[in-house]
Amino acid sequence: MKGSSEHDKVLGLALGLLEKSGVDGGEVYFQDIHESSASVVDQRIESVEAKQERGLGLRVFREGRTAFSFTPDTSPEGIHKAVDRAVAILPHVDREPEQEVPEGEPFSFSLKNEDPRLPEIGVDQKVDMARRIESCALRFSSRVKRVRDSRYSDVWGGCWLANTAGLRAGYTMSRAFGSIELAAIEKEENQTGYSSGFGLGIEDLEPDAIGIEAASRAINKLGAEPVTTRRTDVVLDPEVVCGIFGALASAFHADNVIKGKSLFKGWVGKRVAGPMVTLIDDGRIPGAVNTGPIDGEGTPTRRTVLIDEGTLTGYLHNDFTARKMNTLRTGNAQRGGYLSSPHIGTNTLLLRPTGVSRKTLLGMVAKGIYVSEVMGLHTVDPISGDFSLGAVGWEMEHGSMVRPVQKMGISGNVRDLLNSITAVGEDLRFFASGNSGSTLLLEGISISGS
Amino acid sequence: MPFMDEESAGRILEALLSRGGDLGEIYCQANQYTRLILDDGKLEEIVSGEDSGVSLRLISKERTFFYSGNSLDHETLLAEAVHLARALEEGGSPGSVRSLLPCVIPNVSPIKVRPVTVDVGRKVDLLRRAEKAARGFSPSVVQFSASYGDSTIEIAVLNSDGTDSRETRTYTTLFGSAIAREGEQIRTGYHSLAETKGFELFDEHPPEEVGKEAARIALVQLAAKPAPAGTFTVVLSSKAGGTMIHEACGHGLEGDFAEKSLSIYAGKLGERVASDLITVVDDGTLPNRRGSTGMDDEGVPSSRVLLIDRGILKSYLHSRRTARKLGHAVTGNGRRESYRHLPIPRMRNTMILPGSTPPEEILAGVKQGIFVCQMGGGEVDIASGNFIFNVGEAYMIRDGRIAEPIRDATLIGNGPEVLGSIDAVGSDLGFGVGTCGKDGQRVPVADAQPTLRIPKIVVGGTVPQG
Repeated sequence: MKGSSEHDKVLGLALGLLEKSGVDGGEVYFQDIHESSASVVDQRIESVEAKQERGLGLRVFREGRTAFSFTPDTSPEGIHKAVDRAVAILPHVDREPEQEVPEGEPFSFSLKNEDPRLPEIGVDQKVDMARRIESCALRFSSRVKRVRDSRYSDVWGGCWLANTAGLRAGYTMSRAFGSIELAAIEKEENQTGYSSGFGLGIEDLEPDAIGIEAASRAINKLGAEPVTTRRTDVVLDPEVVCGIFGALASAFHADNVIKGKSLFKGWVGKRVAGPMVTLIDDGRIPGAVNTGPIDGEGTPTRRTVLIDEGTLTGYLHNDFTARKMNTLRTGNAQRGGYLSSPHIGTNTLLLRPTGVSRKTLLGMVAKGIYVSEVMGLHTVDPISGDFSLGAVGWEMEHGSMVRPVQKMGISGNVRDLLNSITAVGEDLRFFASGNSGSTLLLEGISISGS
Repeated sequence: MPFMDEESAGRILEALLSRGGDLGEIYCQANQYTRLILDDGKLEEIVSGEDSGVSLRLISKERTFFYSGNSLDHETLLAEAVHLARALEEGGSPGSVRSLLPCVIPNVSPIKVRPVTVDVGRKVDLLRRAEKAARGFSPSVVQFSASYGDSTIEIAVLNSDGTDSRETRTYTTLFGSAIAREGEQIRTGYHSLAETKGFELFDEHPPEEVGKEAARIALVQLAAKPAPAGTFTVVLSSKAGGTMIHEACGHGLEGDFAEKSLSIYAGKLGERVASDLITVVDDGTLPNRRGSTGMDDEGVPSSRVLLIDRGILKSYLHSRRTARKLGHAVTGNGRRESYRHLPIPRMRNTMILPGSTPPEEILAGVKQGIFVCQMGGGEVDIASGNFIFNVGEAYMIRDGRIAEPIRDATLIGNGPEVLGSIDAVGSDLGFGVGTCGKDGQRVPVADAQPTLRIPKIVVGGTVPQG
């Protein structure tokens, strides 16, 4: 990919300026990313976009203090200004003795993390993919009346790191995405459906699967009725599970644990979930959205077991929190591009399959509710564990979906929710949002309605 | 402003329209910002940087071609413009490029003290003062975090219709989050200040206000019982801000949803969509409010748009593209998060205008229900109109009086149903602030409403066991 010698030059230049700036240590992160998309409605092009994101993020370290600055300007003057800005704010930051330049760590694994053909994909092919997704959705049912956006998008490029502790690392990547948002209409009722898929390159996308899933989601909601308030068994769709664990993820971040801002503080070695729950964060799943060989500080990624058969086993760390808690780094320092300093985040969360098929799991429900979509994931409080979501789904009887329902509330506490899990489906699925989910069966959940 | 001289802009616009097209546009932005985070008693992070870039847009009939990048270099941009133009069929005659005419953009949010002129030490001090106030509020406050942010954003919109609109926007925010603990119970309270103002914001609202209010709410939450589940009468206090109106109808009135008949409000101009007590406006011109700007991100001067007049739907919120598609006038609602994004119809400051009922009277009329004093974030499904928002501070109402506090309630309703059922509108008005997300773009907004009574709405809460 373009820029392989260029990134060495930029990193070397920035590192040199950092070394002369009177700090104890420094770190440079250089990103060069290309994004593109094509959007179609009624088979006609709505928009074609191309973006380039290129810039530097700099961290300076002195006597336990660290400060961050960034710049899109990679000329010597631009970098100089950014270094000066970081050095100027440094004295205002409080000391943390464990705050040091992260040391590199050799690694020998290799990951297939890109499709080298992706940068060469032409606009016509992108438009064609968006069109195929749309036609699959429209063909699926005449009740699919409107498409808001049928889209192909991709990202490719790389990021490279260097620091004064001798680290030099980096990698290139690519991902392609397909998605559609549409509405099914019957009589006066409008219901939306959305679906997406992704892969390393355009050939990994399955336009029919995306189109059909979005269409069926919208159609399934037509005629949905309110529910009655009750406590009942609940089945969560894999996408809902992915969303809930994503919203809960910050409770596993070691920095939040250190500050007492996690419901899991003090729970290592204790039971926090049903015995069939094994929750893992994995940075090396081939083709997952966040997969890469190193994290945002250059630490090699790995597989970290957070909950082992119901027992909490650890947290997610960056270099600083690992030093502070005297444990190993887990490769979870993440950056939101060159403009943001590294913060702890998940790579890919997944629930280990337990050999229960989705069909078997559904068959375990005599009477209950299937939750297919939720709203309000921001209400999941990673400190108290309380949540209160809006939801749509199905009334279930003897393992079958019998009647669509909407305007229902699901509330409770995550601790209770984790303990109420009685079955984990083996239908593990990875989503474009970065995490994964499997069908879950929960018992005794509060459902609000009329 | 440094961005681009007229000659350079003219050449880029001509290149964009070299094979025809209806509109060529250059959007330049430079955002200087500072962000400070205090957490766990420590000034943990300071970020200071400048984010600048340019985007080019070519509209030809229904199609939009877009490029964005960090480079301000003329030759790079000219090459990208030529590249975008190649998307159109060969042989089209060039579109017309009018000479640029500087537009007068009103200064809706006068700034007294520019944040870029304020020493970092004084910004740090704000956070320490907020923390002291929060921790001093009660020994039950066991943790506090706060963040300060300021952005000074210079924007220029230059297009082939001759628009040359420029402005500088200033945002200043202070956010505090307090955690209170008693035994196993841990609850959080939040408060924020966010306006299009300079550092003078803190003369009017000392940082202690953020610390104390966050701490007070955390303590109320600690004392609160889980909200009951079921259908209840709900009184939304004017203090609660306007998340409800933002979700229940604001998004549904955005022109991109209306244009594709995707919104429950599509095709209903002139029809009744709410009770006759309800009048809704979206106003970008309110001085110093978080959603205020002199112009939108397509260079259209800001305005006040009457959306619902005594229950009757009057207008949608438009970008240039959606206004043209529906044959309506532009409303100045074409906003974008940054130069990286295409402009889409967005809210600014959205509000339900006050009615005539004294707020105390509204409360007094409720035998049993829920009184909401703080609304959290929300979400809406545009097609069905179903929305939810969560509740921060809330109390039970018993015999017309405020009773015990409750926590973790979520209100779940349908836009037109709820707006049609509101049976009392207070004579007061209260504002809330937020950051609204749509299509992956986040923009600053404010919303406001008087005290309102909803006779029946689903409250997501806890069902007693057994």
